[in-house]
Amino acid sequence: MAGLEFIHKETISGSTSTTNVTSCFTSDYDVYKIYSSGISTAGTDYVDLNMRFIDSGGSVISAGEYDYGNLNMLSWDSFGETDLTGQTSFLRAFSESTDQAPESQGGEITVYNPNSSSKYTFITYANSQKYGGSYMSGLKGIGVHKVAETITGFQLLESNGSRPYSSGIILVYGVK
Amino acid sequence: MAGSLVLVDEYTVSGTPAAITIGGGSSGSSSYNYAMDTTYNVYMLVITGLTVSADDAPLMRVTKSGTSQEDANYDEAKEYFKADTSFSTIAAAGQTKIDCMATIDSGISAGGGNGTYYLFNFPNASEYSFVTIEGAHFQASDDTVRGFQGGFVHTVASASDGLRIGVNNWTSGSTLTGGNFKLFGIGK
Repeated sequence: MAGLEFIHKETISGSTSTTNVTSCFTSDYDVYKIYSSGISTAGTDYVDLNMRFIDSGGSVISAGEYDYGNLNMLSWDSFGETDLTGQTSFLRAFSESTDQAPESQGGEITVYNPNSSSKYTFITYANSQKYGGSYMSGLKGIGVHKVAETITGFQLLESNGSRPYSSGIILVYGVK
Repeated sequence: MAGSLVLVDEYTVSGTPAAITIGGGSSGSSSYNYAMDTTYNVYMLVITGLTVSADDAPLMRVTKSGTSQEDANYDEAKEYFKADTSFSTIAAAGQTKIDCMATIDSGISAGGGNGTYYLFNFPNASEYSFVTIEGAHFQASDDTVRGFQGGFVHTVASASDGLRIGVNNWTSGSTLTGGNFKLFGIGK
């Protein structure tokens, strides 16, 4: 009998707007856990951290194939929903927003059935963060990549395109 | 973290049962015959690819000594996430069952239900049994992802040893047609 089995650790270094974790989803597991922490922006402008999948050919899927529903739990304001279909990434799956350390984020993502070529790949996610000097938030969300194809990895990307991050870790486990 | 999550029961739907039992000792659907006990304080259930023969919301009840508890002692509070429209709140007390997923449509094989459920205090005879819910499924008629986030409690202070999960209140009609259930103990 097994349990949660370690697959990969990605340590972010250098200033970048995307991080690809490839070949981490295989036929060994149906369910995966992804944990991230301390993803810190290189500058002082805070930014959302999104997620995309990588297909069996190693290509990042950037087409409008992602549906999601997020509950944004804001410490300074009313809670809000973001529910959208046909998007090009899972909005805020890694972080509602993150900033330069000692602020930043922590989060957990569960991925269901990525290795199946006949099923959609689903995710649930939760994260917590501090940014902008005074903003603390939590986020819970659900999502689906609405194409039945084999998914082999994922991409972390910052939503702005010009607000890179430069540190943090991503851990990937198989649930067995 | 590796090594602290221990698989104690697993079942993959075979045939077209109206319901299955995970845990529950010899009443369980698998050959593990596992009954939740004080070996672990917290258990985690993972469901993947749950499919049904007709559109239906899968329901969940606790078992005690392997028997499904069908009394009116379930309280729930859930947020129903929807990618296509506004979320909705589900809150009720004194229910006889809990929908552990919203309605799964039968017409799309690539869809199905997926979820993670943390089970608290199940083996404790002096505490209620608590469950947290997080899930995502494909709502075929609306062509999008939906899912519950929240939890429920069975307000009877006695030990629970499993969960019975099925459709249509275990009566004739719709059935389960697929899905995998993994029950883990979380090491102390």
